[in-house]
Amino acid sequence: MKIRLRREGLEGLALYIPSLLIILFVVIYPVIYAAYLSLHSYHLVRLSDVHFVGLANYISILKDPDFWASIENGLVFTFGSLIPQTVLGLAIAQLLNHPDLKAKTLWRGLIIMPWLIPTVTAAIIFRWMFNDIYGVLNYILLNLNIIDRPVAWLAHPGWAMFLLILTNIWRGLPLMVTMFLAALQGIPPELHEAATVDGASGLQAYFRVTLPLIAPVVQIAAILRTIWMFNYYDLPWVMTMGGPAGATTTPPIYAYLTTFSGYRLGQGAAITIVLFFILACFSVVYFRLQSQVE
Amino acid sequence: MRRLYVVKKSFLISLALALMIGACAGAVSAEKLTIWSTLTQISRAEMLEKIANDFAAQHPGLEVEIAVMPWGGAMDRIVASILAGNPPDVATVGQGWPQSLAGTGGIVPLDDLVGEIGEDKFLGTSLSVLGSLDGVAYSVPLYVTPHVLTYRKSWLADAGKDIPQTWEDLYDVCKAVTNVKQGRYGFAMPFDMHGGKITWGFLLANGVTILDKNANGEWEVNVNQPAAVETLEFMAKLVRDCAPPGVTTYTTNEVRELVAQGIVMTRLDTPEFYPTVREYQPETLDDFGVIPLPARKRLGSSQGWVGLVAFDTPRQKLAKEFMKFMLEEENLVDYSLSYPYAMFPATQEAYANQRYLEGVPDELKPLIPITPDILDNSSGIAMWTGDNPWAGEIENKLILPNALNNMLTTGMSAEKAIERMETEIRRLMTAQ
Repeated sequence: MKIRLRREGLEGLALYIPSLLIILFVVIYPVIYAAYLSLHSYHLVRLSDVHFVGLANYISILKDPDFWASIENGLVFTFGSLIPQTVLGLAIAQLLNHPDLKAKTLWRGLIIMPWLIPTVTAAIIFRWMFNDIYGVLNYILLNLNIIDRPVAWLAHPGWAMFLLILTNIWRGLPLMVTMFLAALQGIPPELHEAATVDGASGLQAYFRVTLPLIAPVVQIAAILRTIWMFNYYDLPWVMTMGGPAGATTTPPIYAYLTTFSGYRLGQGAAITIVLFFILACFSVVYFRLQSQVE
Repeated sequence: MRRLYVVKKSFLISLALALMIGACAGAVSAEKLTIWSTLTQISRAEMLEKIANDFAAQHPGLEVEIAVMPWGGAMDRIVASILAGNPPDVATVGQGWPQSLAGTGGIVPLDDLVGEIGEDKFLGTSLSVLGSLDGVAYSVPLYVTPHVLTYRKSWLADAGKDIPQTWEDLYDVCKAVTNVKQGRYGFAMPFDMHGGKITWGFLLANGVTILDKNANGEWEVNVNQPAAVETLEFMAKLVRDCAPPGVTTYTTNEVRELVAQGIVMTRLDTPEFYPTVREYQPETLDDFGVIPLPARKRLGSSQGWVGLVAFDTPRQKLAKEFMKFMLEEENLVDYSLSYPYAMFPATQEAYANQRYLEGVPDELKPLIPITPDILDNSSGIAMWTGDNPWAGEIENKLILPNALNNMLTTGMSAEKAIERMETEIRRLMTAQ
């Protein structure tokens, strides 16, 4: 019996090994290597002069006002997108889950469409829509006499961030709707029937029954979106390239520009380690919420 | 038994055939020269392939493989290939790249090749500065392109203006032709990486060199000076009063298209807008003219430049032979004529070649006599006083166009923008 258990244990371990190796090489090794690089002057175009610099890379980044501006931009972009995505996502999911809604499949299909468009394509489409000369927005506003000359939407720091967030909301909303809809469909109808029998109004039933039941899914979706959006590179890069004048430079864009404009891998690694700790905080919240759900 | 014999015999015959085919294949592809080209237009990609095939024909058993890739990300790919130990044998490179790549140890010095071709055979500073680091040649120029200002004869006539001779004229002309209601603008420039070259052209024409060597031979930033402030103030005024409102978001291609479509009159760049004009409004080709950027303190300009580098591979001797072949007068003429608007041959003999002079499109012919003078008075960003390892990074980090962008977008003063530019350049010179 003992031998059999031991053999089963070894077999189990053998089954784990491939996954462990993958995690080791794809996750743990890169993190350790990035930490190592961040403590060195590792400049690809001066490979003969790689040397230990201690915390110099971190100090240089933390002293750089552009880094803090990118963190601020990242937070504005992330939470500016997340809150409307969550509120609108809940509202649309509720509508799509309404028992009297006709052609549900059609509506659900339509709502998922933005998610099917590649990010780069979506970014280019919106970039053109807001173009000062060819953009459809200016065309409409000029024809309605709301403006008397073309407006450079993406050349204005405030507007550029707002439109970037708007595009991101449009792009990310379907995912939120899908997750919330799945959660709503998991609520037993008897609970709503019981609430109705007890005299609860629609709003009361929503806030007292529906929302508490789907809250764990909403929290986890929100945390996951926060992590993704804080790390989102392609949409801001293609749409604004971090401009104008750095107004939409989010942390990934700052990291890219700092690292690859001069191939300073030491500095780049230090930025990623700092971002790693910021995102680790969000991850801790995520795992806590997930354990509550379980 | 008989069956086993047949199986054995067929196995042995197959093995022998496989070995023979393998041996033959090995002999045929004994050497493969790999070229990475960032020149994507079909006409010049095809011409490069033809020249490569001609070279291969002179080397029996040699196979030449060309990989064409866009400029965006090409440098990252080259650096990654060097680190991974599998670089190509030859690659095309842009301004500042040879100096950066030289530091990786991945590309080889080309002084021997330059010695064979002749150091004085190249136009302007295309070899001595743009292709070198610390006086060692790491790249030979494939082509150069003058940066010129475009104008439309009919627009000038409508506004009653002459071709600009000074910066003040340039502003007056651009302002005079700007009519927002009609959707006409006098000037535009990109604010992507190319925007750095444009800003550099204006700075150089006003005597600002950005980097200088001090008495000890050490590099110093010297951008914080009244001429630099004056230049940025002039450019900001030109853009603010004469460019479309969204100009600070434009890329090079967008500006080129706006010029070709008759929305913008003037840009400072290569004459590469002509193919776009042919595409959109071929009837207006004769309406265009080009001039050098007027001098402020001196004649100065940015320029287009593309070179060839050879990597530290077992085939570096062959790579150098290919580069020499590519730069032979007739081959260089063929190659330059395959996309003449962007590529002016970098060697003097090809530039003076009769077939080249006759083959150049009519609209480029007025540029032929003045181009050598423009090139003699231009250089890559911050390379007027010599080759240095930071030029590429200054360009990649958009330090120059961002200074102007900050003035236009956030209302930053020119003094502050120049201070910021100085700090950023100093930081990258000292950063780990």
